[in-house]
Amino acid sequence: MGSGPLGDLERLVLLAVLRRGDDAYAVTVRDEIERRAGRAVTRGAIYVTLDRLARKGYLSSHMSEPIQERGGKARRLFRLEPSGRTALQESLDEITGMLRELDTDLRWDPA
Amino acid sequence: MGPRVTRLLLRLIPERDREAVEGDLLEAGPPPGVRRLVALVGIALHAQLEPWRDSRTRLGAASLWLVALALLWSIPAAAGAGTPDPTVYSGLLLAFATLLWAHAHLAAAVAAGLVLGHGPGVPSWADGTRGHGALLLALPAATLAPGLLHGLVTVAVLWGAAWFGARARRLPVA
Repeated sequence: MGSGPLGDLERLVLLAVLRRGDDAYAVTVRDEIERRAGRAVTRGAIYVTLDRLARKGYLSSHMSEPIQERGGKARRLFRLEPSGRTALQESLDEITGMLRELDTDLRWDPA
Repeated sequence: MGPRVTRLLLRLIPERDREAVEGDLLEAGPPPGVRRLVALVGIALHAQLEPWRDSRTRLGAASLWLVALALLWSIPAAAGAGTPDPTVYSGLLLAFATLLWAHAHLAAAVAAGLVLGHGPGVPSWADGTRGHGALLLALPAATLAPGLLHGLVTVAVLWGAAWFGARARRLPVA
């Protein structure tokens, strides 16, 4: 699959992984997107997006130790890779570039 | 949630995600029962559809499917155009050739299945599309064979060959 520009959900997932740090897995990524972006995303969409970003090399993943509260099942934890950070930056730059010097009442305050 | 149904649905999810999905659903999914089953069906559907989002994978999978369909049709057609030449084959070889000629739809199913399961152009992460192709070929395979029993056997042979081809593809080259 060619890397290409980031899709909308891919950008949100990368940002959620970045926010969660060492605790980024499907459940927390989905919670983060729902809580911060206010967008309801299906579980299936989160899994395939995380996996696609890992295939593109933007994320790396490893399995945690088995966890008793999860029936002894491990978590698949994700981490943002430098290429993912670059892709995210380029994606954000696109939006910033489009909004710069635009005479509009749209709010845009990355700070 | 029936453990058998759960196991079946989990098989539709990439192996690297199965344990995590099971654990995630236990940790933060709906309570056990129909709602959890529906959640798992949704995850499995997304996983199965994901390879088709990629245009190159779509092209590769569609090409394999068309080649397999062409084999399913052309091998029995070619076999129907003649019979083994006794001057070329003799004895056991002739018997085998005659048998093969008489059941050319089975030979075609083997060829089509192997192409679907082993053919190039589809990346390993998108191997699910090979299975989709095999499922979609079931109807043409069954209808091209003479009679219901032959049709069912042909579909079984097609799926078996596709499975074998996909398995052989994953084996490391010595």
